[in-house]
Amino acid sequence: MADKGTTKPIKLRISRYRPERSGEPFDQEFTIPYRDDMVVLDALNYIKDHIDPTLTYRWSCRMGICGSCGANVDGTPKLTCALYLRDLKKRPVHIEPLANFAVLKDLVVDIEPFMEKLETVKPYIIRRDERPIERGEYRQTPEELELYRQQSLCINCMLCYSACPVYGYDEKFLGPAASALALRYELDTRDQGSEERLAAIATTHGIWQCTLVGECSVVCPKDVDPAGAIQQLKARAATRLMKAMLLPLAPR
Amino acid sequence: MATETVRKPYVRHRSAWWWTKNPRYVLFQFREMSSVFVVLYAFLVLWQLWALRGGEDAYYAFLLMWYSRPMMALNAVVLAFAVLHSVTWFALTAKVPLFRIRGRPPPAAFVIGANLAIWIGLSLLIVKLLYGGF
Amino acid sequence: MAAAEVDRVTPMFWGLFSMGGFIVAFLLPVFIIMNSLAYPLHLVPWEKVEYGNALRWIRGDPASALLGGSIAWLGGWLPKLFLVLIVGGGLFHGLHRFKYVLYDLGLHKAKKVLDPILYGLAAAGTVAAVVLAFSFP
Repeated sequence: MADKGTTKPIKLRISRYRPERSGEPFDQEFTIPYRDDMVVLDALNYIKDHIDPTLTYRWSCRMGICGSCGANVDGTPKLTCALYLRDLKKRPVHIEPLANFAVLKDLVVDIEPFMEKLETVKPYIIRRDERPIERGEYRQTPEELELYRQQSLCINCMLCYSACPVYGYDEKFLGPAASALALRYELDTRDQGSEERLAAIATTHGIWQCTLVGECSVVCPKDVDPAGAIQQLKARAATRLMKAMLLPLAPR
Repeated sequence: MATETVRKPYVRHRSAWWWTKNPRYVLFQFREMSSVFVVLYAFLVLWQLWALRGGEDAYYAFLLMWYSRPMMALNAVVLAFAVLHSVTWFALTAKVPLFRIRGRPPPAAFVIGANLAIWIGLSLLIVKLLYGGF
Repeated sequence: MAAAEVDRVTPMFWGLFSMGGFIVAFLLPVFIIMNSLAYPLHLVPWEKVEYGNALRWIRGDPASALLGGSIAWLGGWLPKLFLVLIVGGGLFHGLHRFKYVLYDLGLHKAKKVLDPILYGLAAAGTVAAVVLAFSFP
């Protein structure tokens, strides 16, 4: 039985990119000491601390809640802080920047397109009738919270965008996380902005581009189920459109 | 003070074989390909109706082709894809809750089970009603 | 970033795709078995599939007999309606899905050309099914 503190080394192949030096990314291999309680982020930190301080990557909380450390490990989008090296079978371990995003440097990708998409779904409570402050807060029962709790758990890690083949060919596609965020507000009983929100997402590159591959929900570390969220949004948008066409004078 | 930037985002090219990297992507492609066979069968049925319209000789010639071995093989493939569609479709419908039980959507197993029951029930009904049973 | 136009066309075809999906899922397998494989697999005799019986089938004879009485006329409509549902549902479902297969293969920029061709084909096939099916007594 192998000693728990064994330092049999492990090899990793990491994608590097130095825009100021070359036009293309290249792979670099590193061999580091291994402990079976290491996660991929530990390996990256070891390399940066002891071997190559220029290795560049994002991370923060190291406990799977900040959403910063996404990368493609052995072809699958993962949070590097949540993936144990002992669970990876291939050697060398292959680490690449999150798929479907432009690479800025090493494992850092351009997240601006994603941030813009979050804004387009109007992710805030929209009221038709604002109550004065004196009337107090908009209260909600635990049952009402439960309606949208699942969609509210998104940590914006973008693993779902890396998994989505549609986003892979159409970067204008609204995408899983932004859609789940839209549903989070749709299902919130305090929100009255269905009309504007659905109008913002029921566009050509909006929810209708989704072909329900479902991989987004598979890779989501928080079980947000964006695939299910998009299906619900499609049903809501289609129903709304039918009502608008068949009952044009009915109140929305 | 230098104001130029070395920022040069690199856009990676996606291989045409992207979908082979993952069994769920492969299943997705087969599921989508089922559409080709569904459309094909719809046109075959239109051809069948046209032949039926054409009288006894025309329909007999059609049946010779329809029940030939190659056609049987093709229809078996169409059936396989149709069943794949049905099974994957029922799994997908579980994602859109049409009603809630005590604030939660119904469990996926219940929705899929209900769909399967309807599928079998309707199939038996059609055999009985439209074909007069076996 | 300017707001994009609300797409009012895709949801309609998505709705047809959805309904077609249910029709195909529930009705197509049994139809393929009865229509294509039952006879070659010796599940039904030749008398059931030859010309005369095919005419009787589309006239709704088994159904009319089973329903009987005042709703026997419905039996005549059932097989024709069934065929229209299978062909129409299958075409609107299959061609919508196939459209996205083509998008994935790199043709999503040809949307303005692909959409009318594919949905036009689906509509034409559905009309043909209605005309052909109801041309029988």
